[in-house]
Amino acid sequence: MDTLSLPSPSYAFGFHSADVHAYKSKKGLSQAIVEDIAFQKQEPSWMRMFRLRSFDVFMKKSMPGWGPSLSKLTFNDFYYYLKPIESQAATWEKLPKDIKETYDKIGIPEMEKKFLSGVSAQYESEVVYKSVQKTLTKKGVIFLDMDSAVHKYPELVRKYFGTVIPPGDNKFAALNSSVWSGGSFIYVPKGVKVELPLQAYFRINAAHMGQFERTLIIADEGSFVHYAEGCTAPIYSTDSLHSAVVEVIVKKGARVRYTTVQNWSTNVYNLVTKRAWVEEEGTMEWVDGNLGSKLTMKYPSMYLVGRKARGQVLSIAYAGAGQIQDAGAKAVHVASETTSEIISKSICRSGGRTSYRGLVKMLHGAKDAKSRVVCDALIIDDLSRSDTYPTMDIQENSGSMEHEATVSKISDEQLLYLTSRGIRGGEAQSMIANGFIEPIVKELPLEYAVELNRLIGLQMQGSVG
Amino acid sequence: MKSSTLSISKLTAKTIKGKEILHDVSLLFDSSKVYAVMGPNGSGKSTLAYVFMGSPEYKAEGKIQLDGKNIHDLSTDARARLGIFLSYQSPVAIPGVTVVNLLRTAYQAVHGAMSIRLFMTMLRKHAKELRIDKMLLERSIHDGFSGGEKKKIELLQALVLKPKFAIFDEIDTGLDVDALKVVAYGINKLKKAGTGVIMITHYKRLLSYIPVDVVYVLAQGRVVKTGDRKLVLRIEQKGYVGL
Amino acid sequence: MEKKAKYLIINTPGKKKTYVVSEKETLRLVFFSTCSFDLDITLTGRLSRADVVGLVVPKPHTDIVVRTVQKHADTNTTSTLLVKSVVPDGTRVTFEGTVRIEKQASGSDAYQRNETMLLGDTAHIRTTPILEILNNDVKCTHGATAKPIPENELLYLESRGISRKQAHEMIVRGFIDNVVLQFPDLKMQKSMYNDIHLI
Repeated sequence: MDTLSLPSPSYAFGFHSADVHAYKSKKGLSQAIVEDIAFQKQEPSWMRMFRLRSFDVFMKKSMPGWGPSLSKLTFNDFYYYLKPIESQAATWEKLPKDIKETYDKIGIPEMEKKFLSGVSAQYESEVVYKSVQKTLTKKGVIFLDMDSAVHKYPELVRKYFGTVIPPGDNKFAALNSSVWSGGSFIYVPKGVKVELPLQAYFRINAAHMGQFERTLIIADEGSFVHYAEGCTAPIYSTDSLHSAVVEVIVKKGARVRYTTVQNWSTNVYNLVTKRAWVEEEGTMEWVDGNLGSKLTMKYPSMYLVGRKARGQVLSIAYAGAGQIQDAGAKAVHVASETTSEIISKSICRSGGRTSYRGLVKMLHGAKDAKSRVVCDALIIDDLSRSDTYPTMDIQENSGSMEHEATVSKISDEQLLYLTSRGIRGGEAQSMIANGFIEPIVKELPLEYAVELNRLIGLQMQGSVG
Repeated sequence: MKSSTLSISKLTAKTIKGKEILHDVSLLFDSSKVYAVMGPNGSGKSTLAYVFMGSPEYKAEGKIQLDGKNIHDLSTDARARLGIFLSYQSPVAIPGVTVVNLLRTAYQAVHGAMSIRLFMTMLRKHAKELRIDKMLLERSIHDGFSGGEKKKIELLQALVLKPKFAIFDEIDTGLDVDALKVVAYGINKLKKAGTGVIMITHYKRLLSYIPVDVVYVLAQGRVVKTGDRKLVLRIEQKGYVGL
Repeated sequence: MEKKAKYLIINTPGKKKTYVVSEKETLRLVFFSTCSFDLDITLTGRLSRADVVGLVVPKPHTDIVVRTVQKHADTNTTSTLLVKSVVPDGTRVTFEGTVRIEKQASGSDAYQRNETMLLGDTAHIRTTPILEILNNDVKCTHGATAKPIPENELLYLESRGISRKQAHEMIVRGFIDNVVLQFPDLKMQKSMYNDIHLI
């Protein structure tokens, strides 16, 4: 067993020095391993007990009886505790060729390329981050990695951890609850608006995202925060199971926007449970981009429990050869005058499969609630497949619900129009595909948007993936 | 711009289902002149425009030559890059693809790169001449545009792309007098810059603002009459009967 | 060859109706149901077409499941399905509409729409429109709405001297008319309107 190093302070922003050692547990999952994780992290007993209870639930719970087949997942094949900052490729040369080429083509700056591949240990802007952290601290904003938060802010964490997504919610939530490591903890005090999207850090950190990240965001009354994570650049991961849990609590009048873009390599099973609890006049916005992985199952949800609570999900999915993007959204209207809006755009090509799976539920008593769902799918060629499985469960007769879905291919007429302007067929397809997802792309932070457009363009023209 | 010739020789065009629309049509166009292709509804005028662009909806047999080179087997985009432009009668909307985006990409494909600043200056200048609201340029092309806006945006593209030949498929339908004058101004400008203008229309309206050199009349898929602008007046007064 | 429309009235639960539409044939179907049933339509021949319009009006305090399938198994096939539902108090309607376009069915065009009017405080609708598309050269749209009787429409009629109860009836009738009026038999129509009265 290698020497253990506790997370260093600089990990708060996802940076590490090259000489951090890794701790690797034995393969497979057992109560002993869960105990060990809690021990290695020197966690308080309440967290240790939480993990153990969750492990029990995990062992008893069965796999989901719906959705794509997970039969190839064998839980005993994985390592369940890896120091989160594990370099995936020690040198630029060792990085898979197609990933290097993609970085070039989508224009990732040199510095980031090196960092993403683990070659460079430091990122120049660490100085910038430290000064931003100073501003945040002044405002009373708490923003650090989840592991440290458990130690530093135990009351706050204990109050909310596992309340939005209890371990019993589903098998993967139970798994995460027992072996979670890494992720972020954010607390925004009343009335504080965090102007700068908490994003820059996590673009870089993406390469080192742990398998079982646990994120908890609490936006106190009247506050605002935008959290962005992930990377449009393809991230090569040797871990083939990613099962994260994200809990967001939006208190009265607060607003949270959570942007994720993932482009995991195609050996990864990406099974995420994300849910927001939205109180009176609160707003939750999930912006979700699913580009990579072998199989992603992700359904950002919102429970609209306070009057006039609002929830929105904007989702883009791209499935290329050998990929299944099973994504969607869930909105549960508990209180009156709540609104939900779900817009999903998916593209599948070369045998990929995209599925939209959604639920809009209006409970009895959710007076004058409104919901609108638009899901559009573009199937590029005849090898691919797109499905939509939405359910609307309405138990209240005063509000309104609308759902619309369209599936089609790239219109010949549009192709003809663009080619008649001299634009080559491949590029014309890219333009149309990018135009198709534009309503959502324009909600992404600028760098993501630019890279995403280029990536879609490349994938449409077959030069990548 | 050097002058060019566009010719079709013994052209027969059928729809993919096999219906013959154009029969044995031979026409010659010179870029130094202004042409009107007229005829009653169903005469095949629009089909002619689509055949020039190589639309997959029609199977064409016969020769199509640009400056003596046979373009019959070239793809639509290749033809466009060689300098043939079509302004559509009912252009399709493409959500998410803005006018600027389309034009910049097309310009680059046809003429090569140009700095964004120079390009935008040029684009805005032409838009202003055509009295196009610059906000329209940032919108998805033809998505929710009025009839007049659509036609002007088609014309704007011709001005920006500077083709050898610009075919206007019924650009005058649905325009009010003011818009018509602006369109005529734009087309005249295009002509002065050396583009061969081919207007497909069945009304005299537009032609009263743009001096026409040659008039071809199609009926039931055949060329039935060739003439000069006096022919336009004759059609105006007596219709297509008896030609 | 144009076929006359088929009319279905379903009053006993658990029925399953299957239709197979062959090459160049057209199926026109209008149905009215007060209970659970299954409708299966397969377009097996090229250029075949199915147009279905239906109305589901269950009795109060019941629980019904209506399932429809539009399956496209050949090229250039078209299907349209519109199911309207009026749900009274204490009743739960589950609607599951599947459109499945098989790999070989290029050039297909499918449309499905489910519109529900919830009448009572304890009316409950669960609608799941499903699309399974295995061919890309198709056009496929589905939509679902669930709304109560619009208050502004009620107020408008009341302002013209019409009692709320009557206004209520008029609006519901307006909602279901485009289906009911497709039935040729006036007696049938009358009994359908009566069913609405009962709720």
